Amino acid sequence: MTKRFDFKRFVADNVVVVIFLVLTAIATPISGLSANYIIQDIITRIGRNSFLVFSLILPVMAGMGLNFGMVLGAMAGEIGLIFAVDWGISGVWGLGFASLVGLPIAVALGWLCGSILNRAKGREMATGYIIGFFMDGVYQFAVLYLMGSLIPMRSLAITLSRGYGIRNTLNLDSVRQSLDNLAMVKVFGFNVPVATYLVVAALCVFIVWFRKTKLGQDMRAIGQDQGVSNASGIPVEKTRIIAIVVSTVLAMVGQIIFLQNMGNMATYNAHRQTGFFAVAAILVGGASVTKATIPNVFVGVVLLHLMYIVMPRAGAELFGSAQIGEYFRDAFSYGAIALALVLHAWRKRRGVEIDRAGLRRNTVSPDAKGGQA
Amino acid sequence: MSANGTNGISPALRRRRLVVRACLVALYLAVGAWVMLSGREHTLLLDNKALADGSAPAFRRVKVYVDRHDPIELYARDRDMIKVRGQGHKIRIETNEGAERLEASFRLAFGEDMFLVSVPAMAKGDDGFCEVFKTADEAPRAEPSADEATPEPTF
Repeated sequence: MTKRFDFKRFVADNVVVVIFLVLTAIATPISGLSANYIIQDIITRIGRNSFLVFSLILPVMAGMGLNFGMVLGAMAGEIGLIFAVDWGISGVWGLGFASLVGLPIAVALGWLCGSILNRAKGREMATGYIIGFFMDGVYQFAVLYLMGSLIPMRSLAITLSRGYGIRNTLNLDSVRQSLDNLAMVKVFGFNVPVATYLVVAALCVFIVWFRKTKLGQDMRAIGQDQGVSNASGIPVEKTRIIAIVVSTVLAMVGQIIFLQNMGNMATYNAHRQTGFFAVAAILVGGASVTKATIPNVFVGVVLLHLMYIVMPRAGAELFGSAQIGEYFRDAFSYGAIALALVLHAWRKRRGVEIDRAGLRRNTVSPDAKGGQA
Repeated sequence: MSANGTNGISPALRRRRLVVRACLVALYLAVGAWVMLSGREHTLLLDNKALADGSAPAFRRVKVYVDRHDPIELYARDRDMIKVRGQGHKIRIETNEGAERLEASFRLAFGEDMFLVSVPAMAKGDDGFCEVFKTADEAPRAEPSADEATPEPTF
């Protein structure tokens, strides 16, 4: 039986994506930016950001919502980079060293975060967000007071003049774009950072493979129903912790890839917006709190960053001030998150109502989306 | 949980798990050490100045090759900088002015950031041609003499 394409339903299901498409379609010609410029910037930004966004997939799979606690991984990556710069480990080696230093920190923080989230079931996103703020304080204490006093630091260039604490901005010249430039290939006149794309592709393969493993299947089962999973012998709490640990480790690597592309690091602020931008990107890509896929990541990164590229210029062209465009893009990013969360709640309620109606009539419409949205 | 606290796992399985975990930790440490040693960056100052004791004059023009980096051309009293990774390196020179040695290998101490490589000393065959270079900020300050430490009060 062939199903007819229902345009209204398609728009309703992908309303966030459609809104972003319409906005960027309007803003792009107004911005006056050339297609070449936009495509080159998008290619760079996909390499820079998609790894971070991928770190959100596993917790969604395990029914833990969008992991705002990924900033913990970002902090671990930054600590790794601080040590890589301090020890003068440069190039791709420096990125590897930062990952190795960040790995145990990310695992420990992920385990801590997962354990706390297990005690806040049903409120994972808000709890993860607040854990991020809490750990930000701990991070600031460690970097501002312990590094250089309790934790020995070698380089005078990165420590504050008082002798302890790390400077506000860290110059990452020694590792700057080392992964991107490892295999930069020109394709149709565009610079494509092949090595970075290969790392992202490897992560995609890992996620596809992981879904098919016993652990991946357990996570999916837990995401659908924790009670049933528990009754069928799946260690729910342990599996949820593993999902958060893997997500935190991926966020750590993602933050290192992000910062090597930027070439400098705001020591005390770089991680603060990481979770927010990654969540915005995956939601803009059509993911929801309960379902996230690999295409959602790529569509989201392209759409969100397309808006980031064109909005300031469109603002400058329309109102004579790029700052207004900046306000636009911030407002729309937060708006995307709010809209996606509201839609999720609305669909969930609508699904429950459809289920109830179906039970009353002892039938469920084949087109109705009941249960979880 | 079983009464003996082993959680129902056989001792053989527990031992095997312990061995696997220990191997993973050892692998992690080994990879960490390898990455650290291989990725350590050092700055080399290539110096083409006559030796202080006058035993080797500066080259009027010399081309210096370090590992696989692009060659650096130095004229008399020139000094240039190059960044290298790892501890073992090779230096080679090309010149029309006679030299006792044209190629040499040298090792850098892991803990030091900057080294001064004297090209005339290397060409002369001196094995100490590469020495640690400290910037003014890094160099240890000389202990103040007793006179400096307790200055005479002046009015």
